[in-house]
Amino acid sequence: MLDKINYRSLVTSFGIGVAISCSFQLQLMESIELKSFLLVAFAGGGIGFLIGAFAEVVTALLPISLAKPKTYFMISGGIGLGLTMIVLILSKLMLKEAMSIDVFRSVVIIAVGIVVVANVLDFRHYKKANNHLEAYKRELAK
Amino acid sequence: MNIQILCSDAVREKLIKCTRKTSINITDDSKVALVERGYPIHEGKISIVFDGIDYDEVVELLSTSADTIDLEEQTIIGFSNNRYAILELLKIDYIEAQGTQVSCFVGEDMFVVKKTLSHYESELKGVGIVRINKSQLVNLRNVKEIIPWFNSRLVFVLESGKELEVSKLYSKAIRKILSL
Repeated sequence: MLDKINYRSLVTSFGIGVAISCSFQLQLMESIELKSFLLVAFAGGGIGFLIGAFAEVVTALLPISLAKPKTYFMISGGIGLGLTMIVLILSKLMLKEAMSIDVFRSVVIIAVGIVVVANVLDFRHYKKANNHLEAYKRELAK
Repeated sequence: MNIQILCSDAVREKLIKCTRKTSINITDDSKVALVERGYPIHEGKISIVFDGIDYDEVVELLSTSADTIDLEEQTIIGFSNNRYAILELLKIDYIEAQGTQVSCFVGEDMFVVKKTLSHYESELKGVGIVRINKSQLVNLRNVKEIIPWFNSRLVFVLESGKELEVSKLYSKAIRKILSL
């Protein structure tokens, strides 16, 4: 199973975690000390890494008999939205006073937007792959 | 494999004798000619020049490749149910290694083939049969759909309905082949 895990995705997840925690801090804190800013950014990266690792392990267990375009996009979107919601709800519970309902709402919209855009891009890539396959087959037939 | 021979009568006689037990067929219609050094090279044909004294080595070399894949005829020899069958490369769905045995799948039928998976990988690259994981080669002509899958993998759905996994390692090469 470990050979199926894409380690590059874990690095990407770490990077996304750092980016989200940085934007959170910049939005919520008025004065930030550099040391604690970096520490929280690193912690955010760690959470991103753990979420990425969890998603990679779970998806590595999925059998290819499930491989249908619909199933792929449902699972992919579901994992993205599910994990994002869990993290956001936990953040809301931990930062009760610091995060107003308006900020929380805008964060939810941005997060859902990112997941939707990622899935649309993924769908376009799927269509492109199949078009290129057909073109390659036509080329072979010549 | 069809081949024309251009050589002395003595060497011709030896070549005919040597090729009897092989799948090499001597004919003047072939696109490939076996030419003994000193004899004129036939224009418009692929010529293999050899020294008369090395006739047996030439036959061995040709028969080794003729026994497995005939790219001119686009066929491969497979074995199933105690009989040999000539398989058209176009109809092969995939080739799979299971332990020491290499099998070729055409629809529902399975044929055992002689050479290693690596051998077929290098020989059949040009005809669209490519490696997709450590134990399988697939014929891209017979892939109906590519489905993206998790962990940077892909799943190929064949015309026969069979699903094959393209591993993380080989999906890079596949993306390159398909210019993705």
